Amino acid sequence: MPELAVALPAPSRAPVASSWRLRLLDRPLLSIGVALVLLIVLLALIAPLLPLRDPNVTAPARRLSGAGVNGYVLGSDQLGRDLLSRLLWGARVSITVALVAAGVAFVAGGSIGLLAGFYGGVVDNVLMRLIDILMAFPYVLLAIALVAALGPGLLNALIAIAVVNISFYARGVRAAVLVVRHMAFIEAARALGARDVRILLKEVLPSVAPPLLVFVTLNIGALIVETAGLSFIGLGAQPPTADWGTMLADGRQFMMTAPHVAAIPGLAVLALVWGLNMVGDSLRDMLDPTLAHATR
Amino acid sequence: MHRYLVQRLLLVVLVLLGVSLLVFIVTRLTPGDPARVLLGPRATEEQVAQLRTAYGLDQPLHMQYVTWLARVVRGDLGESIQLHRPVLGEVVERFRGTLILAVAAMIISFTVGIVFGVAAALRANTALDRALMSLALLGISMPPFWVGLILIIAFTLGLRWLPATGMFSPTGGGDLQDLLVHLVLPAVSLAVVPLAVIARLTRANVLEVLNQLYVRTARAKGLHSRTVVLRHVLRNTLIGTVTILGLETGWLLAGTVYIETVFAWPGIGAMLVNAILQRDYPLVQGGVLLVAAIYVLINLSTDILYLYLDPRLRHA
Repeated sequence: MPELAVALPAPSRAPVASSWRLRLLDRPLLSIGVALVLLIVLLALIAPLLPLRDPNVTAPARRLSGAGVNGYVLGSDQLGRDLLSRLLWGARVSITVALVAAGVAFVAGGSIGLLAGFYGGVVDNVLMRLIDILMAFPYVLLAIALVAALGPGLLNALIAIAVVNISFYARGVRAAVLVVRHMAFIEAARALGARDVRILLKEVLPSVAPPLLVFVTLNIGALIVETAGLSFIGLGAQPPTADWGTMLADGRQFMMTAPHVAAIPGLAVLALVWGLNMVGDSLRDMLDPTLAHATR
Repeated sequence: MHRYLVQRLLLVVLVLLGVSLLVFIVTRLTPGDPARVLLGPRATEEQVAQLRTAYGLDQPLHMQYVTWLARVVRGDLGESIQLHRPVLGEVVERFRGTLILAVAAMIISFTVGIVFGVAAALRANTALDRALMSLALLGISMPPFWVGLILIIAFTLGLRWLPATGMFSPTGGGDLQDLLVHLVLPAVSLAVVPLAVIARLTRANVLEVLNQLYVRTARAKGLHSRTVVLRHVLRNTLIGTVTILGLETGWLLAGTVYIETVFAWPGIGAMLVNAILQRDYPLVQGGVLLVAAIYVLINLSTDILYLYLDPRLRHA
């Protein structure tokens, strides 16, 4: 969302590396965010090891149980499936899709931004006009158009979400590269006879990496919501695969009798995205001292 | 400035052409021969070949694109497979619903967001500021479709205060009051995330302006603090807020897809989702094209408005 428009902080490597531990204690928001994200990711990772019911085993007699009823910690859904189990197994799907989509968008968009920013001129113009065309679509709309062409499904939703976010990374990386492009250390590398590829990968990329970290954290949250959204409207995960979005869609039909079935997966999305945003906000403040000064 | 405007307009034309090409290619990516799909499995090869010629599907792809584009420019978007009526009429009608929803959400998010942001900035680092900014951080993390479901559970199923489906009551109603009552829940659900974003942005902008020398001068002149805030701070903050108008519109147009689905609101977002699930490709094509075109034009207007609000840019 518009959050993406925040000015990219100028790259500054030195202050980040020093006194990490001190800063973590100094910033409750960062600590809470990291703890929240780690907790959810860890639970998703160890889901197969936990004493959970099978997420897909139905028990029609005990359908739509409340939390704590019939031995369901978080209750059961319309087919009597264990909500806690489905939530943790669904987390694996949602988080994986968001991470892979972010990775694809990052590599594709990042390369475009790197080339456009580094070479400038015609290369920049052509690449950025292509990005403008991608940006001409309100983001969900482009994802929807792509899913329309490829057909509904989790993999196609992943591709669509990745493509939609290419423009975001391309612009972000380009802006960061423009800042360092004419700095002395790049000139020095060139004077030493380094070729473009080497300069791009060994000099430019590491120096724009810290602000990119903020970018990725803020973006993963958005990707989690987008993935859940596509699944929610039926264009993402198809049964029997469950992610948080399809769980929400299932719960929607039983809001009258069992509101918790819809509320719980949404709370999970909210908790994870909230944690990621806390981390992203704190990282941004840490990387950009001028901004931190204004907001603290 | 004129040169900038001309350049900007040329870019819009280029982008729109690119959008149309993308929409054309994307719908051609769909597996299967459209003629075969239309005629069904029992059609003979001869019939299929005949239809291919009739629809120009035997032409090379770039020729097909040119023919298609020429029709689109004349306002002919084809006919919906499912509804058996021209796509243009359907799309325009549905867009009205989306526009009402998006404008309502925009009014809510801008007024409340700016008030929250200014209040937080003027009381920076107090309990009020922290409370508002914590709320805003929570707000930007909320999935809009989930907010919709929660509001329905609370206000429709629980308190029975507000309706949760459609734009008008099926029995009677149909007047402005009926519309407004139906509008509350979907508009609020749609407004939550942009409201939080605007509050955060406004706070940062106001803090930045408060540090400017001209604000100090205004204060030193002994102006009333309300005058300083309204005349010197807010006016200069406005420019920063307007820049996200375009982005906000994009987000609202996207968000309506979910919100219309949740609230059965007769808009273009819900129509597109249905059209995809029903494989009604002409309708998908027309809807995507129209929304993208409107979005590009709104972004253009934002840029021009920006020029108007910031005189420094006009001479640059």
